[in-house]
Amino acid sequence: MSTAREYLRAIRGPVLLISLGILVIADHVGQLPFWRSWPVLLVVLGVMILLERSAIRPEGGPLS
Amino acid sequence: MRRGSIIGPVLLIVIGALFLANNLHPELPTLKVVADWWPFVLIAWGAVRIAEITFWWRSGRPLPQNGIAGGEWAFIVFLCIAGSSIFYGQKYRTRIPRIHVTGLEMLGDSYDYPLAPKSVDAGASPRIIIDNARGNARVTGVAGTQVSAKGHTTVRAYTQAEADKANQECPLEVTRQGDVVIVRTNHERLTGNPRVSSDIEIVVPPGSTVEARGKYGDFDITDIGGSVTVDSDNAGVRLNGIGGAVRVDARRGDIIRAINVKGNVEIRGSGADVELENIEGQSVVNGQYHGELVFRNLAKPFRFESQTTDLRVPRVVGKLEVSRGNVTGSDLAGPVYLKTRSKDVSLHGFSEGLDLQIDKGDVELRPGKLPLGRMDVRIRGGDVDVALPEGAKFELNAATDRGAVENGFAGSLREDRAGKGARLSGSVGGGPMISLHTDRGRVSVRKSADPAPQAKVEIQRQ
Repeated sequence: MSTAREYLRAIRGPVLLISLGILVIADHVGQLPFWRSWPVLLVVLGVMILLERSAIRPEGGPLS
Repeated sequence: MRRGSIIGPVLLIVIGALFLANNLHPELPTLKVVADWWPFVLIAWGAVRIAEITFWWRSGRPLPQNGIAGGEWAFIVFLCIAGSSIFYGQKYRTRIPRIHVTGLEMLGDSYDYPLAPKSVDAGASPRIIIDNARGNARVTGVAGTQVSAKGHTTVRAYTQAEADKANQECPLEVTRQGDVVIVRTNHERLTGNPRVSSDIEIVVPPGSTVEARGKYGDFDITDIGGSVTVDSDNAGVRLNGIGGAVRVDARRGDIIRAINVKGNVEIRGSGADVELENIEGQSVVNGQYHGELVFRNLAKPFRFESQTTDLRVPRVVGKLEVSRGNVTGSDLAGPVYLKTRSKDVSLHGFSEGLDLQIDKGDVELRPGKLPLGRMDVRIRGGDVDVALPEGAKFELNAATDRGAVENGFAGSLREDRAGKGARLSGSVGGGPMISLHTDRGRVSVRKSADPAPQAKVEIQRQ
C-alpha cells in the first residue's frame, strides 16, 4: 500500500509538466514570455515538496 | 512508460499520424498545427499521468518512484526544443529558405508552359476576382474595358507526361458573370501531387475593384480606381495608385507595401516588412510583423496594434518607423498614444501632446513645436530625455524612483531627492502638464538649445 506521501511524490513530475505546458502556451500567445515566467516552476516544485512533507505521517493507504 | 502507461504508444501514433498527414497532404498546414499546439501535449501528458497514478493508488497498486522518469524528461526537453524551434521558425521563417520535411518536391524536373492569353470585355468598372493558389500575379489598370490575362505555368514533376497532364488540368480562365470577372488558374483541380505555380499578368480597366486570393506568391497591383482586397497565406503585396480602400490579410509575406492610396488601408495578419506611404484614408495595421514598419505621409488617423504594442497617431506628416526594438518618429500631428513592452522611443517634432507607457526602453522627446501639448510618460525601466524649444511654457512633474534628474531650467524648476530617486517639479511660464515617471533610470529635462548636438543644428537652421 502506498502512502499519500508516495502519491504526492509520484505526481510531482506530471504536475510540473502541466505547469510547464501552461507557461509555454502563455509564452506562445504572447501574454507572458517564458524567460520571465520560469520561476513559477520553482514555486510549484517547492509547493509540491511542502505538501509531501506535510503528509509525512503514514496514512495507511488509499482512502483509509 | 514501463509501468504500462498509455502515453508512449499514444505519442507514437500521434507523431506517426502527423508525419503521414504531412507526406500525403503537403498543402495541409501540418507544421503550423504542430507549432501552435505542441504545448498541449505536455499538459495532456501530465494530466494522463496524474489520472493513471491516481487510479493505481486507489486500486492499491505500487506507485512509481517518480511520476515521470529521467528518460521521459529527456524526451520532454527534446520536445520543447523541437516545438519551440518550429514555433519561432514558423513565425520568422520568411527570411529563411523554406525547408520541406518530405524533401520530395525538390526532386523531379521543372517544366514550363505558356498560358494561352484570355480576355473578356468587362465594362468600365468591373469587379475582378483573382484566384491563383501558387505563383505571382501582376495586375495593372489600363484604359479600356478589357480584362485580359496571360502568363506561364511551371510544373515540377518526374516525367514530361505527368507535367503535361498537370498543365492541362489547370488552364487559365477568364470568365464574366454580370459585372464580376473571375481570373483563375484552377490549381485546385490538380489530381495527384505535382507542384504547380503560375505567374500571371492581368490588365484590367482602371475603374476596377480587385479581390485577389492565393497561397504562395506575390501580388503587384497598380493603378486601380476601386478597392483592392488581398488574402494570402504567403505573399509579398505591392500596391501603388489605388483609388479605393485597401485590405490585405497575409500571413507570411516578406513585404506589404501600399503607396498612393486614396481610401482606407487595413493590413492584418503577420509577416516581415510593412510600408505605407501617401495614404489619404485611415490606416490600420494589426498583427505580428518582425521586420521594419515604415509609415510616411498618412493624412488620417493611423493605428498599429500587435501583441506588445499599441500605437495611435492622428496624422503622420513626416515619417514613423517601428521595428523590434525601436519606435522612431519625426513630424507627427498628435496627440500620440503609445503603449509598448520593450522599445526605445525617439520622437521629434510632434504636436498636441503624448501619452507613452513603456515597460523597458529609453525615451527621447523633442516636441519641436510650440505651444506644447500635455505629455504623460511612464516607464518601468529606462531613461527619459526631454528637450524643449526656446520659449516653451509648461508645468512639470518628473520623477524617478531610482536614479538622478538633470535640470536644464535651474531657475524655475525645483529638484528634490527622495531615497534613491529624485523629483523635478515646477512651472515654466505656466502651461500644459508634462508628467514623466520612470521606476528606474535617469530623467533629464532641458532646453533643446543646450547640450545635444542635434539640437544645435536646429538652432543654426533658425
